[in-house]
Amino acid sequence: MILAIFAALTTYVVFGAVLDNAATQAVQLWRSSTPYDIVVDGNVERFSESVLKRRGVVTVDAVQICDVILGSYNVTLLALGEDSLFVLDCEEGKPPVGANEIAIPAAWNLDVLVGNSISVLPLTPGAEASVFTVSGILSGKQGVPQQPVVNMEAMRSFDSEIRNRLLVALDGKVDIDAAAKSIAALSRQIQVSTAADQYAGVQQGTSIVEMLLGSMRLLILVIAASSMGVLVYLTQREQAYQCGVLRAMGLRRTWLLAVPLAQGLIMFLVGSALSYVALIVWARGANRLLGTVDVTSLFVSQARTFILFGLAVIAFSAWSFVSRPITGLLRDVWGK
Amino acid sequence: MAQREPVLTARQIYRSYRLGERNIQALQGVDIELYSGELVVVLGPSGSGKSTLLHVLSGLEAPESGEVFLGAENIYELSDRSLSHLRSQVFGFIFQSYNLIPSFTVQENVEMQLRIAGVADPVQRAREMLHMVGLGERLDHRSGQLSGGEQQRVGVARALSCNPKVIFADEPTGNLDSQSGAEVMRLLSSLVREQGAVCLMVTHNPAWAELADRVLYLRDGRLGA
Repeated sequence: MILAIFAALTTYVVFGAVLDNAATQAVQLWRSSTPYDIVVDGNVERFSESVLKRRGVVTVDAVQICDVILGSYNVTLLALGEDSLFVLDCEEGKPPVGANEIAIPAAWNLDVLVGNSISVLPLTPGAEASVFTVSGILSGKQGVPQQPVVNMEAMRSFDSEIRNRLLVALDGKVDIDAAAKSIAALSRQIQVSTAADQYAGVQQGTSIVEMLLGSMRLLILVIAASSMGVLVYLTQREQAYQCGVLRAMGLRRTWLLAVPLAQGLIMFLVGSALSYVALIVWARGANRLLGTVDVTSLFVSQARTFILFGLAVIAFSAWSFVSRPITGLLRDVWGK
Repeated sequence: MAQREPVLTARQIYRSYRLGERNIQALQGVDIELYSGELVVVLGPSGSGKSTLLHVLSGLEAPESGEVFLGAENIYELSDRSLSHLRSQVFGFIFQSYNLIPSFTVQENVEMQLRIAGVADPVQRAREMLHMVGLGERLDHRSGQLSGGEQQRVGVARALSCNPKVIFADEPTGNLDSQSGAEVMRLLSSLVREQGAVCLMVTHNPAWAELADRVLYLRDGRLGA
């Protein structure tokens, strides 16, 4: 059973590491086009100063967004302030200056040229469409927004729901999730999401490899749990008669439960220790492929679910066994 | 004259088993009262429900319906902790098939009962009991190495080691020679007469009925005088 735990846990953690790494790389790739780490929505006007004072926050960019129909697409229109995190680099034309000018991302392929007119219709029922002139085509370079951009004056002209948003850039040293939690703690009126959350929202779908790895991890967990359940059952069947005699002599159920639980815990500790050692060896090779692998935090985060699940299986199996009628245990001479 | 209170009372005990397609009614509406200082023998043919009766009265097997009272307490309403306490210190059970732990030595089998009951100096007490049943020279033998009669004597020593108030004996002399059998009956009688215990013994040997204070007959799950 120790070997089963070692093999299953090691494979589980390794697959988890590969999946995590794939997700991290994808997020990093996506992040290279976004100059911010955290997005704050909601009632944000009062909190801009407070957010800037949070540890690790370098810049807070207050923008406005509005959901519109552009051409035939539902899009989110973006209005930037003067000192925005974004770079309005245009491969053709120039950024919007006037209240009726708009810049469109090149990747959108709307077949519009600089100087063309384009209709923008807010999603609010009954709102009237506004006609904008395309001032520029935004390039796909790093830091350039991939949404249509207007200026603040143009945004205010819309007869529609306009939302304020804060884009937060961190110093690169503080943990993004910790910073996000710190900002969220300011008020319940704001909603905080990280770049990873944003990525998950725009992600078109996981790759086949990721799906395969994820499914195999689940399969490993299920097979390992089932195997442990069977092994525990067989071990206890061997001891059924002995348990029956002890129960007949007056030994309490909880005392009998302690034995398989203690055995299970010891096997998990030994199996997990062997797995940890194997992972250290594995990480030396994996570092070349996946970048630096922090074995300890990886093991702790991945193994926790596995070990808790396994112990729960053992506890359930042990409890259902010791709850059997005593005469049934005495008649079970399988292991006598 | 003051009426004696029964030590153990059972009311309308029903217990059945499924055997393949058939439903075997092992006990049908059994009522019994046991008083301290008496030896009660239950006679009955094989398969009449004698062992089942002992299992139900001793808390080893719950009835489908009916109640078992130790004094005023329904033993099947007790917690596992309390019922286990009864089995370790108040009840003593001598099994027909001995039910020893084969990997334990003779002494360890008796010692285990004493340790569970929390008896002080279980080693000394275990040795005393085993000497009493004539196994003083076999203390370190594995119970699996003993003959049937010797194993039965270990079972007797184990069951009586904590001076139980209620003794359940399932064919205690079944595998013993006449001398050993008489010795076991002498021990049981001693506990009953001198220490006020009550012994319920089931057997199909009518010879032991002569030693009993009461004889009951169990046929097809029904108990009668």
